[in-house]
Amino acid sequence: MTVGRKLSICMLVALLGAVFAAPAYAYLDPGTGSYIFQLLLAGIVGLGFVIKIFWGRIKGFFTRLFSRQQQQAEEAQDDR
Amino acid sequence: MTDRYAAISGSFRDPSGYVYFRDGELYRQVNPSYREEFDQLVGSGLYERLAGDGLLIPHNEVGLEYAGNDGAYKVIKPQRVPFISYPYEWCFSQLKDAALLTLETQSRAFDAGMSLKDCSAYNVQFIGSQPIFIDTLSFERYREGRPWVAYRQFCQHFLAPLALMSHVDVRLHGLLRVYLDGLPLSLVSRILPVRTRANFGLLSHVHLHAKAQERFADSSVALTDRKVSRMAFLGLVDSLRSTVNKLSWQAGGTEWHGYYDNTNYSSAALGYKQQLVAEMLDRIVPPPRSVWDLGANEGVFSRIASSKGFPTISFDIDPAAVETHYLHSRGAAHQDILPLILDLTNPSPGIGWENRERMSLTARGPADIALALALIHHLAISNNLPFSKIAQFLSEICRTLIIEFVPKSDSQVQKLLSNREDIFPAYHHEAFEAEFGKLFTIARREPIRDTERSLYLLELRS
Repeated sequence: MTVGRKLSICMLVALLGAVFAAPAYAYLDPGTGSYIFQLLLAGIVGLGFVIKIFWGRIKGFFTRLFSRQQQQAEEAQDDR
Repeated sequence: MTDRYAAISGSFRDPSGYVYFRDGELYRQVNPSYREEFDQLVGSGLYERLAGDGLLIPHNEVGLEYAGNDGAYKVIKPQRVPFISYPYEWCFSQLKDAALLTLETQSRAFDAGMSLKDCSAYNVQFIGSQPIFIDTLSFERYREGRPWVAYRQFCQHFLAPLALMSHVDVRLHGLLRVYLDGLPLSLVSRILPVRTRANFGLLSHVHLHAKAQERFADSSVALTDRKVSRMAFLGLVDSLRSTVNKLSWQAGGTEWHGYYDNTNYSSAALGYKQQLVAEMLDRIVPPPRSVWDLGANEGVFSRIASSKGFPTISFDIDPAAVETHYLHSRGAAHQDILPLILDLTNPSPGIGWENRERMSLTARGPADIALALALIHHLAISNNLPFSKIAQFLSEICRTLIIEFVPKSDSQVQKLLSNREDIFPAYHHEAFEAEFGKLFTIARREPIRDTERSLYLLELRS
């Protein structure tokens, strides 16, 4: 099972729990479902988005670090 | 306050302003209720960036004397879109490009402190094969913590039909003609195969979204004071973008795909026919401002018209042919061709409120020129349409007609007749000329070398 699939299933369980546990107070229009769902989903995908950006930065840092080291090694070699 | 000019179809719902024709020119009034949003759109430089990069339709501000009623804040004159098309006439990649354009517009708006307040697919049009956002009054100021109000509409107008076309059958795009405010997610969730639940984007934005809509549709819930943070908002749009990006469809395997490899035309005959069409197009004065290629397939003849600088709309019934044609035209920026899906025997009707919200095909014409090449036998023989009916319809949608007559002796017609009784005694040149002659004058008739077919240049009788 892929990580994506595992994540999907975890999310399914978490969201269904949230969706069906909502308390009842006032009547709202049919777009309400979308609205409430977005409040729940946005938190999850927002977290994913932060990780994605953060991960991109970490990768970028190491890529730059690696290419700099390589460049220095090449320059050192050229100096000889 | 009375409107001096009536709102055009599809522009009467938005309280921010409306679009109307005045003395044949198109204007858009901005109402005072939209004042602050409009000022931010222009003042933040967002309008200029979007219009400059070809994402948003450009406009000029004109004086209040052009207003539609006395309560205008501003009046703008947007650039005209040569031909209005609708999502149910687009192929897969056209709908996908429109979706991505909408999300890109949303992202750029967000950077300027704004957001889209609706995400209707009807807010996108095509100029040639380039999609462009046309609803200048769709932008509102972003308010920290507020969810994206257009989320549901984006899922229903773009994501749901794209998912169906990609994962079930491309012909399901026709559902957009039935559901004008986008496809109901509960319906789409039922049709999509179970495996799409393993796709994070489709699981959340379609399946679970549908569940949530059903759960809360008729019930009472507490309005929570939960907010959507800036990052969560960006995450939502990013998730939609990656879900759309992953949806794909490969053209191929349909009835008409690869048609030109499979006709009785020799390359010499095809070349001669192309030359004849080019000559006939050259003869038309003044040069046409619109050419409709009916049954255009992948656009071999549309390209002849377009290469002469004539804006061309290419209609075909086959989603694969339109997809191939669109991908080709999109890559060739100099070509002014818009390929669209259309069944000529059941062309787009007027639909929506009062049957006027979305225009019929005929209401969007007539074209200066129509091309009807290798088409007549499909209408007359496959669809049992008498010449008089075909001539009548064509006379309503064009002023000049270049039409090819394909006689019974032609192998393609023989193929159509091979599995059915020949109930078409009147299918011959003489009857064709007699019926079309009632509505058109025959300006030129040329036999097509190496074939038994003929090409006609017909002009509508005044």
